[in-house]
Amino acid sequence: MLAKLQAFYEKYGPDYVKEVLAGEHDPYGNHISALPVYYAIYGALLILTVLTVAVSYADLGPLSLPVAMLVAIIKASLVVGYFMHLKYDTPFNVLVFFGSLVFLAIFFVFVMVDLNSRGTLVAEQENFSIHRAQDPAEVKPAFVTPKNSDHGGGAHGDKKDGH
Amino acid sequence: MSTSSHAPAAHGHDAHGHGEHPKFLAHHFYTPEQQLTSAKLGMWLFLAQEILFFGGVFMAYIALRFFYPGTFLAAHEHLNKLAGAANTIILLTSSLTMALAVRAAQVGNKKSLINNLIWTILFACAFMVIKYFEYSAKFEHGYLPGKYYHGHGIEGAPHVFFGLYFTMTGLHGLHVLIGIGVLAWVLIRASKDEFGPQFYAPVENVGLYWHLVDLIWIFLFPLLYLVR
Amino acid sequence: MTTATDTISAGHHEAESHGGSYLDRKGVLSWIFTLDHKRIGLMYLGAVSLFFLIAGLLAVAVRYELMTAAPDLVDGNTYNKLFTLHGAIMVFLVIIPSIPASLGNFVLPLMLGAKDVAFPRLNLLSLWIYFFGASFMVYSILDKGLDTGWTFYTPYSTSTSTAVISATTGAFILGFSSILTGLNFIVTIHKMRAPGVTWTRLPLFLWAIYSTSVIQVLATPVLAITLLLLIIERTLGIGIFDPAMGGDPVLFQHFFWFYSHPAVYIMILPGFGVISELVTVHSRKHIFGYKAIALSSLAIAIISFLVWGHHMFVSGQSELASAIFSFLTFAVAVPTAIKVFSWVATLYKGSIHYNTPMCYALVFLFLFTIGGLTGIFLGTLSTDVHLHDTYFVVAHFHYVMMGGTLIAFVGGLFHWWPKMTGKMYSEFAGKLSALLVFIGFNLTFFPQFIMGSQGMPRRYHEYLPQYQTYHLWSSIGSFVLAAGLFIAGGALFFSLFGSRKAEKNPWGGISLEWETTTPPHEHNFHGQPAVNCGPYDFPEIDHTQEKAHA
Repeated sequence: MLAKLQAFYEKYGPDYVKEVLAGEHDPYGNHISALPVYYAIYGALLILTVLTVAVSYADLGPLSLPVAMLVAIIKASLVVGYFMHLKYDTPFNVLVFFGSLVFLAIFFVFVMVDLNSRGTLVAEQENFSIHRAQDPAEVKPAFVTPKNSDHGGGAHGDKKDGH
Repeated sequence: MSTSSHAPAAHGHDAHGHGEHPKFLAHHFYTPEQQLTSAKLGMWLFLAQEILFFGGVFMAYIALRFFYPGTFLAAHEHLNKLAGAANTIILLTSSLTMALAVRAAQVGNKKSLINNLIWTILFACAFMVIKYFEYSAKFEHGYLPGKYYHGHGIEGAPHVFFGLYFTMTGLHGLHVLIGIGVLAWVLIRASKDEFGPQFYAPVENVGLYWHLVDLIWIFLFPLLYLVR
Repeated sequence: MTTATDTISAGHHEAESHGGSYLDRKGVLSWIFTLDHKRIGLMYLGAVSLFFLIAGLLAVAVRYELMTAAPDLVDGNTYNKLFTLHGAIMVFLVIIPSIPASLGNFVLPLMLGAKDVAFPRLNLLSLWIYFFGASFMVYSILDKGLDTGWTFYTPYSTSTSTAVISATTGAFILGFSSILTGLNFIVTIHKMRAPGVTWTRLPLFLWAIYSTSVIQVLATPVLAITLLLLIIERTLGIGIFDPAMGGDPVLFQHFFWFYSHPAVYIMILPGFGVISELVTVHSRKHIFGYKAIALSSLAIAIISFLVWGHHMFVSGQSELASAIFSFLTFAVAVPTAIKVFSWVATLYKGSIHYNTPMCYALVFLFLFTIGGLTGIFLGTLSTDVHLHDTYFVVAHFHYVMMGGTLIAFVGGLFHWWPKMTGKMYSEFAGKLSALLVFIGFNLTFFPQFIMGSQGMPRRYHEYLPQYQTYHLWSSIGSFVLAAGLFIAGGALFFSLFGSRKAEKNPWGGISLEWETTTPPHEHNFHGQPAVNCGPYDFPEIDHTQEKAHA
């Protein structure tokens, strides 16, 4: 038994992994990944998919979205790094890819800053209208009139419903 | 090949040396390597614009989920999680076969290249078939996008959720269809024996595109089907 | 079709095409299916000129209506369509493709010493896409017109009965033409440089085109998705942008300006590049601050993505976001000022030749400086709240877009025209046109600053009588401006039929495009060119500099 394990370790141990990860090269010096790498990545992707689904059933509260996104990012990095070979690609192609993510992040962050802080003006104005109704009917979702949306569009939507 | 330019600023220079110009090499490139790296850089730039393009719908998702958190939670229960998960696995598998196809081209294994391309196309079609059944189910229940929504039993603004659902999955599905088209094109060229270790840029670039389609689904799946 | 197959069949072309010109092949098909970047550039030039004429005439019609305070020529709805189509055509069909797609396509591979762009078929495809998208735009004019303004703001664009869908489809398609051109240019500059053409020996025009292309690739897809979502919103009412369906119109403005502010730099950066060429070549002097100009182009490209919210100060965007955007907007002034100062320093003690291109470069410097400085007022949150949607804004962006980009375009056209066509134009007509354009332009738009600061709102076809005088001068100026541009166009057009052949290198430039024959032959160079000095190392001036230092 032990001898078998030993043999297995010698065959598939760190040296083997190193050799597999090193891969080969085509006539232009481009990297060719070894087959086991692809299968390993595929296995990892399947496991992570199961994990995402499982996480969605476990009630993690406010953590569930970050955890789901983290798993998705790990999956995406595996695909990008190994299936798309970005790990072995030229630095400029890496820059192009991450550059596009940076600019996307700029878009997201600025708009989210606006969405998050847009209520302040509304809040200030509401301080002046003493008789503003507090009944839930008024914060009914959807079909917000254009007048309301001047300060945050659908922000009146169903911010207070649900949870 | 090269004649000297007479200008003071320029001098004659022979860039190639190795006279033969292989058939797959376009006239304005000097070496196959220059052509391959150009094609790849071009593809990555194209993927960058694809990321920004899809980024727009993800931005819309963020904003609408911010406005209607309750609706998203309620409405997503009406999506078929099993179908979504199955499609995730199908796309991941097709990504694997695509990666194997590129590898087969790199090492010059024509049979494996063709087989893997066929598998990739089949998985892509399977994805669309499942999508079709999902869509039909939504149509039956009246869960249509925007003003055509006439479903019942979902609190909040479900027309917004389903508008977004159809927009995001529709755009993604369109990319899958385009993917099937370009995969078929590469398959035809592969069966004509056009690719090998010397020249495989089209296979690799189509592969990159296909992985991106997979990549987008990796985010769409938890965001639409697994809201918490 | 012959050209297409011929160009692909590699290897043997050198011997057969010695001495000929890229214009030699005849027949419509040799143009429609050409893969030659020079021919594609010329076709872009023709299309851009045609749309420039159409949109220019729309502008003249607008100014004609505004000569009097009363609505006498057209009614309100027609007026809305006139200025919308003027804006939409000028932005999407003229200014954005003007310099990169026409001059850039022609000159870029020549400057690099390459035989063609990296992807010639993609280049042709983007030309076809341009025509396809343009036909949608033209269709929307002929159909019901468009009255949303070129910005397509919701909720008006989701409720108006005009041809929003065909116009946005057109802009959507045109976006892909722009993306593909940008992508092609980036790869070409990276991979196709001749031996010796290092990054620091790249002509500054190419640095500008490169920066432009970066924006085209990264920003244009967001426009595409914005317009697509707008079309879906209008047809299905999915409630992203339309407040009536639960959407957020301010979100639309974020989407729109995330593209359209960087797009402003898609428009002006190539103009900067042209001016960098003109001021050095026509003053026979090494450019001042090569690296500063090159890197400031890239800096502008990046900063341009951080400032879009300054278009939305009165939209209902949060005050916090407005303050951040206002602050960041000032950052653009730094790289822009670096450029302007470098150009002026280049002129200093240069041996300035007042050729037509140089005249246009000087017009550019004057007009763009005014345009840039008035931008500071509009970027300032507190003043913009007052100046927003007044003629001050109109004057500002015309000083930048028209006084900047289009003047640079015309200047660049005069500069490279001899190389492109092999014909020399009348210098007298050229200089006269520059003078008329300068006078006409200032007469048109300077009064608009004044009435804007006094509160004249934009986009109205009738106005209070107190603005009558300014409007009258403005309209008269626009007629002078139009006359100047007609003379410029005439000078170029009629040179084609004239007998004055252009020399190989009429201006004494030393970047690579001047080293080939005039007009260049199909594969640009006979043999592989190589470079051993920078694009602005003019020999005489090194001399004077030595003297000056001694």
